[in-house]
Amino acid sequence: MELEMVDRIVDRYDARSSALLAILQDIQQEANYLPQAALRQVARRLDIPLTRVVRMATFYAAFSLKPRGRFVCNVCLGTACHVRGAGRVLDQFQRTLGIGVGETTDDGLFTLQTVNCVGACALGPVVVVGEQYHREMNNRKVDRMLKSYRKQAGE
Amino acid sequence: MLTFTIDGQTVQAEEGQNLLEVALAHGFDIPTLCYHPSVSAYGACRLCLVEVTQRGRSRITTSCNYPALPGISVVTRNDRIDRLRRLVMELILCRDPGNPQLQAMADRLGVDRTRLRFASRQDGCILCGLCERICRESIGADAISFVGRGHERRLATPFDEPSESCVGCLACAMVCPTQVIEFTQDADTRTIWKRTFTLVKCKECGAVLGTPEELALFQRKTGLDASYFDTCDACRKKQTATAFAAVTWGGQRP
Repeated sequence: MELEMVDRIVDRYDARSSALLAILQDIQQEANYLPQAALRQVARRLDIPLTRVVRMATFYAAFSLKPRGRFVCNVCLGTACHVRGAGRVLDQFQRTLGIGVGETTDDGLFTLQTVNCVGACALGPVVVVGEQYHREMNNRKVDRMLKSYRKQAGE
Repeated sequence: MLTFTIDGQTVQAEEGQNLLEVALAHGFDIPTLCYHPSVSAYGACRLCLVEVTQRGRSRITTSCNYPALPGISVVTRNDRIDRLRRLVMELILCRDPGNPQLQAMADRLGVDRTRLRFASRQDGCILCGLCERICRESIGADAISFVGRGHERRLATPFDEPSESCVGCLACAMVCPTQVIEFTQDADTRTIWKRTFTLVKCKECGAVLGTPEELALFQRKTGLDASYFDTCDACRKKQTATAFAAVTWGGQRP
């Protein structure tokens, strides 16, 4: 964990404590999760209690305090996706990857998460991987998608 | 000073006071779990509901965080308030129906059971956050806070590790309305939030004074001489009385 990265991000916001949320977002963007050491450094640099940082970091579902895989798969379980079979899609992820929700595969490639709506209901069931949206997912498409990400990782 | 009425009685309050503290000061009985006069009001337990009428409009609101305003009339009890308090009590009680403090409050409000069940955990914590506020606002240690959200929300030290900023003062455990913050203490040590502190004792009688960390913090905050923290209240009183007697009567009792 490079604390210089944290320092650089904190400096970008002039070490203003009101920018805490934005700082945490930037750290997660770079490190893929929020390491403990980074949160401690943020508290030190902003001169605020560690409790305030931890309270915010644990409040938002978008933050993870555990290392995540290279591809974070968010299966949408919102109402529209749900009625169009998101539950089956999630089952397929769990079967194929052999992990539960919130877990990461041993090879560090995939993390499985659920989300309650991504605002793309017309495309449901939706799966968001990183920044990419995958529409009208079904079991076959899940397998195909995972295969292509594995291939991408191998290159 | 501003004037308004509580249950028909005219009362006076300072600007900035909340309804609950004015009502309690005038002897009105309002049930609370999350209120403490030394920290900011949070409105978590919702038991201090009262009816406030202002310019002909009435509303039910929590009195702990509602400001005293000139000319309003406040009702601390009626059928509607009682009914709402009982419902709120059922909601709180379902978090741990076996908790003695919650049972006592339920008895007081005429609630004998809760129709709800809170499945996640039954640890007696009602998430009122009083421990967090006393730690931050009164003690200034900021050792614990809410973590997580929704049904996973709870109070903990950062990363559930022994907190570096905790001074082991036990304020959190003392104010907890359901008495569920655990700590242990033997002759020489005290353990709370997974951290063990040694105990400092009175140089005269050996009574426990507290942890070195809390005494250092209180010395810093009060600016008192370090020697003030050598003895317990009783022994300090004795010393002062002896010194006083020496000055006044030359050490002889009249």
